[in-house]
Amino acid sequence: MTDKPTMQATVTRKAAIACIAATLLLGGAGAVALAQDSASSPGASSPGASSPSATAPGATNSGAGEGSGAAEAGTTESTDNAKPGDDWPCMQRLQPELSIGAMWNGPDPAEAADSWRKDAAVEAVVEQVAPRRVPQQEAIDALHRFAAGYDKDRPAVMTKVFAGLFETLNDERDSIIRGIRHFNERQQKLADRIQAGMKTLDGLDPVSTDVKIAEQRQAVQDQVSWDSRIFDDREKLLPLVCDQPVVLERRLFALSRAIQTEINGQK
Amino acid sequence: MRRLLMGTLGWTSSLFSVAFLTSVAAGSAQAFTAYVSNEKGNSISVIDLDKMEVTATVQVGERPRGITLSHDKKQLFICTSDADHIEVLDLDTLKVVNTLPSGPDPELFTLSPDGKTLYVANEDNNMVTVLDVDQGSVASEIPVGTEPEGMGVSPDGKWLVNTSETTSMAHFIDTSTHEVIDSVLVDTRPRYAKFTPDGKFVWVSSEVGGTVSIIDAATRKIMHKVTFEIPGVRKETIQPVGVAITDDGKTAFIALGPANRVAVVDVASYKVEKYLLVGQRVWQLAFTPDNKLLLSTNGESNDISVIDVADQKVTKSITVGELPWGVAIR
Repeated sequence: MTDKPTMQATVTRKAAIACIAATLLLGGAGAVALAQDSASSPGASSPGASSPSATAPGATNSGAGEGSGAAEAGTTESTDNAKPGDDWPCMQRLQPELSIGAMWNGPDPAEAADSWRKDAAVEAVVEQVAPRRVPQQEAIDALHRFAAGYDKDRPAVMTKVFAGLFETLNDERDSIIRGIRHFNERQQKLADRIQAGMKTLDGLDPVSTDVKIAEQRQAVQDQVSWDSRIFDDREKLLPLVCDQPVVLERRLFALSRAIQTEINGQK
Repeated sequence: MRRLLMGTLGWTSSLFSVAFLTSVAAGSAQAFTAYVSNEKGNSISVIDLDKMEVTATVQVGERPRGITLSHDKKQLFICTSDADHIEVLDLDTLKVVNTLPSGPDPELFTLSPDGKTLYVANEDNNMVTVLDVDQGSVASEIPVGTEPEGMGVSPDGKWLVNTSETTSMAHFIDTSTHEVIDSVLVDTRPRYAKFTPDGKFVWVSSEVGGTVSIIDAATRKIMHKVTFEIPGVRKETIQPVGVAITDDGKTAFIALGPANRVAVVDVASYKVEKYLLVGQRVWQLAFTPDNKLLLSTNGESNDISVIDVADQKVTKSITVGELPWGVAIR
């Protein structure tokens, strides 16, 4: 084995992991397929890989603890396809969709939900403060500055701003949740393949003098090692990835609270 | 082993590394002071309720959750869950002055009315540990259901009610014999037990069931279940946890977890009068001694909300440490 294929393998693996991270942290799901492609084509063996992880297959359902029931509660309007008994890999309890009533104490936002895009100023401020790259305090300050431009119509306008932020951040959160599910499905498939490889290894005599068996054993061993490394690297990302829906929820709550302060003066 | 190791580290750090992150401001004699455990921050926030601001943050052992004041209100007992013991914080010096044995993973506890006994729920080993406070030793252990959590003691100190999350039961324990006399099946994942001030009823919140069962303490039958409906809030988001009842027994407040609301319930009619929007994942509640204010800990938004009890309005939110959990006020 030369260094070159090992380096290629490492680069490919890192690219695959980075791809997953970027995808989930930014809210899309499509690029996960790239990671899967990479994972299924190790190309070269990785001599430095650790031995196949016996814990890998079981690690796909780590989130039962605090939140087993919530995944069953999908509604017709939710785009998240939460199914009863569905695996949700995160420790955080799954709330498939945010509730307006858990965020908002102001005027009924039902009408504003339909009309906020028709108000160019509202649409602009929503686009300005919604992105996670904008620091939360900066976004709150921007909302206060925006509200200062309105007097009697402030409650109505700020309700539209809330409606716009709720829709925007809830959609983004929904996309992330779908990405996490996709991620989990890939992990499950990889875990199944690791298990199958280990089973194959069990059937191959490790002290056989038959060259073909020795070669086959080496090939399976390499594949299992590679898959295990991919699996373990992805698992390390899980806490960060799983935190993203909560990060968005927290942001939306903080922005909603700032808007309500402008409407009713609550500090 | 990891837990043992971490427990040892936490114990060591608590004894030798109690740190003040900000200076302590001495409040006036009449001022109420709130103490909030920060589960992730491994700290206790000290809040001056006249100034409505955090005046000190004290580092304690790992994963502080349930907290309660000693009988003389000079010390704060802290369930440092991952340190596997109870720490005793002196409230004058704000230093951890002692640790008490608790059994593994203490989550929540309650102090007997005479201040001599702490009843501790050990989430990991399905036991309630009975702790002699003066002796600093375990008097006995009471086997209960799976994942014990909620702990309520009757005003006369004769009955202890423990809830077990997985078994979904409220266990009635005779405190003179330390035996489970009766178990009442309630809705899924009971989290908290609170006796009414007259000792006649126990309110038990069920987090996943989404209800509060009101149990007659004498017959141990469920007399009523309070249910919750909040416009614009998904039903499964409504997860009752903390329960607080005013000293006059007329009004109950129920923390509803990720619904971010506190329900105000008229005790006589069991009717929910209001749902107050507080902070994210509202968990535990505590009144000021004069019952004029109620504080809620909001785990996700890392703050507490101050509720005016008479006006039934949220008047203030105060940022504390990471993942605020328990609250006590003196």
